[in-house]
Amino acid sequence: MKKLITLMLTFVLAVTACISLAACGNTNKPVVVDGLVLAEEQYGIAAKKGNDALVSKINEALISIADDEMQTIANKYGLTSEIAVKNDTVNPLAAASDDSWTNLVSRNKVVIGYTVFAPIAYEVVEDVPTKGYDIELAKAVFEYLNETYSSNIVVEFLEIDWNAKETMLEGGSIDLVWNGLTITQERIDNMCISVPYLYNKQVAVVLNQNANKYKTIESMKDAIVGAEDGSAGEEQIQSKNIGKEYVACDSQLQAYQQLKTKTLDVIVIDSVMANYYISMEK
Amino acid sequence: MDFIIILQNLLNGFGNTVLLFAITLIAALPLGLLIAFGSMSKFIPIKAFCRGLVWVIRGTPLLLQVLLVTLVPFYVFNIGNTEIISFLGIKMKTLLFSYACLAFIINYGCYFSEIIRGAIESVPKGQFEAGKVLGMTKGQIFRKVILFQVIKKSLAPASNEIITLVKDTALASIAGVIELYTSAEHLVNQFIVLTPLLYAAIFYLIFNGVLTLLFAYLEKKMSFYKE
Repeated sequence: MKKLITLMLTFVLAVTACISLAACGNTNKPVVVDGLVLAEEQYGIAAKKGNDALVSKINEALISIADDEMQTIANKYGLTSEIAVKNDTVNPLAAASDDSWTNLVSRNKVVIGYTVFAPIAYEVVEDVPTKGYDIELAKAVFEYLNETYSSNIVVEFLEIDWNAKETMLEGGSIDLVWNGLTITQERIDNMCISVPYLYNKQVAVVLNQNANKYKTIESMKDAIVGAEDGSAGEEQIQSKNIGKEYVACDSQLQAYQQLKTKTLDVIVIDSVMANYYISMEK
Repeated sequence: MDFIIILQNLLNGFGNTVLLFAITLIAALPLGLLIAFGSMSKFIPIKAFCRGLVWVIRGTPLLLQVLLVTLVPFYVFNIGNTEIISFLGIKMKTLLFSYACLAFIINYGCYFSEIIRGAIESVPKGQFEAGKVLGMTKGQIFRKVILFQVIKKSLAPASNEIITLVKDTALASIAGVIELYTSAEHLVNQFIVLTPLLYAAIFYLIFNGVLTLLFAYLEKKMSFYKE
């Protein structure tokens, strides 16, 4: 019996060692194909329709920190190239004068609705997300606003069901949806949306060693391409007829892993995800 | 919602499910027999290898095994799957499907081996001895005396595994195989209704119903020899 247990343990150890050694050996960094943007979306922050003054203040803060803090935060998540705000962006709601901002100041608290996904909002510790681009940006924006208007607003994050975000805003359970929300005409009609703060493009990602081989859609005609099943990337691959063969993956991360292990030549995923994954490589 | 479109898509997925099922079954039964012999071998290294293999395969999730098989060429031999398909001149879908088959064959081979081992070991030792006394060789004893009893004895437990196999084919989706369940999920995403999953359930149910009837028939056929 003792012998058997020793044997089993030895085996487990040997396998673990083999796997970890093999995994270390391969560090071929993927890269985003330069200048090939298949589709472009923009992320915005949403408030209840009519809360223009609140969104105006957020716009103002975003524009003011665009050149310093926003860069620092974006850099942390590999998203510097995706920033959509500049210090000369015009705040379209500058003239708003409703009482949504003053209400918030007197309440001393803003509730932000989020869902958990990296790199936007993740590592939830005791119901509070501790990491993520949107999480840190929201904190920075309200820090700026508190300083500028000598207010004392505390930021509270509330995890929501993504499909219920509009009703949550309407009902006042949350003041803002700040969670990689793509700006669409329908959302502009139904909610008050901030200036775009982040781009999310559908981009092609290839291995570094193939960067010169795959530069255009035309050059990818012999490639095996992949994307998340049912995603916007899949839509691009099919509508633009990219590659020789398409393989559907369970998630964007799985597609990325398949690229790294050379099962796929090209993947089409969100630029926010792509840049985050690449920034996580050693 | 177009019923014909749903049926067509589900049938496409069902084709892959049946193919995966058939290939696994055909290859896993002989492999199971081989591993069963190995586990009973008197030569220690072979016995240890087979018992170890059964332990590892039964002790880890099939989902993980399917995924790992697709990664073996890269992590072990540092050859990308893209290189393999350009060398063999096949489609990536075919290669991934083969990987899924391989993982299923090994996994089910191990389960079958234990069923077969149990069946072989349950044959009374006296029958081996009687064969020897009659001057039969080991091969003759196995083919003429033992094999049929083994088939008969393993039929009921194996039918259990085989029915599980039908449903386990859904796990092949991790390797990019579009089988019945995945095609149903696609339809759910397309039409935003859950009914395709229900239709998929009916497909599985009918398939398993046919198998159940087949096994009942086989058991009846073999019941002429009562112990």
